[in-house]
Amino acid sequence: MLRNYKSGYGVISGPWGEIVEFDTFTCNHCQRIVRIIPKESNPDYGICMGCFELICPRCRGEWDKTNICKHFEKALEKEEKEYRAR
Amino acid sequence: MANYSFTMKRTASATLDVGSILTAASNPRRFRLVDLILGAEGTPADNGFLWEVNKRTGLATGGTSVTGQPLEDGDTIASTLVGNQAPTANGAGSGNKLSIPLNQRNTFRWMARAGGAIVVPATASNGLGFSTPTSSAVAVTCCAHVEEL
Repeated sequence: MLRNYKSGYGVISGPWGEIVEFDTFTCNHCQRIVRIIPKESNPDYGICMGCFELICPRCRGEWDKTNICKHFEKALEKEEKEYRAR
Repeated sequence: MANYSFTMKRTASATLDVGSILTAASNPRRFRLVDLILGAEGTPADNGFLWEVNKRTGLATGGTSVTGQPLEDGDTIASTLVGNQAPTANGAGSGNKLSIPLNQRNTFRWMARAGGAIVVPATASNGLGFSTPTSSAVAVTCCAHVEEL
């Protein structure tokens, strides 16, 4: 399932041609870019049960405490609504 | 919807942004960060750098403006996006989107796949700042590709 959620790709190039590649996902609550560690058995990131999307460790901790989905799209719309109301 | 490239440079500072990309102060439109290249072009040395991408909600002070170059020749220059490099004071705002520690000799590139781009809301002077909170004073460059929505 996680394979479908790889929403970014990072690559670090070294001076002698070394290359480190990794997949990332973007937290669907705070839009933070998180590195995916392959075959990690107990990742600290998780899935929000409100939007069913991947969220970063910090947002997962918040979700575990509050069970409130704070999807980034809702936050953007709220910011834009407040801006238009000014 | 057009794609633009912003290249921002400065002598790295631990407190000041390398640069920022913001929505315009009037008639703002959403944009999203789809590609990012971070590196240092100073004389090669073994220095540690932490690169960060942070949310910004206000214009930076000073520095020089950066014009977004359209990636398609047929597109016009970005009118709804404002780029700045080497400011003397950062714009307001916080909220970390990316932290990556690098050696000065390394270059980092991040690309968004479908659904992974960082989206900035269509509110005035809202955007992203690129900074090196831990760095040595060497020349650094940040190249960001954004898509205007």
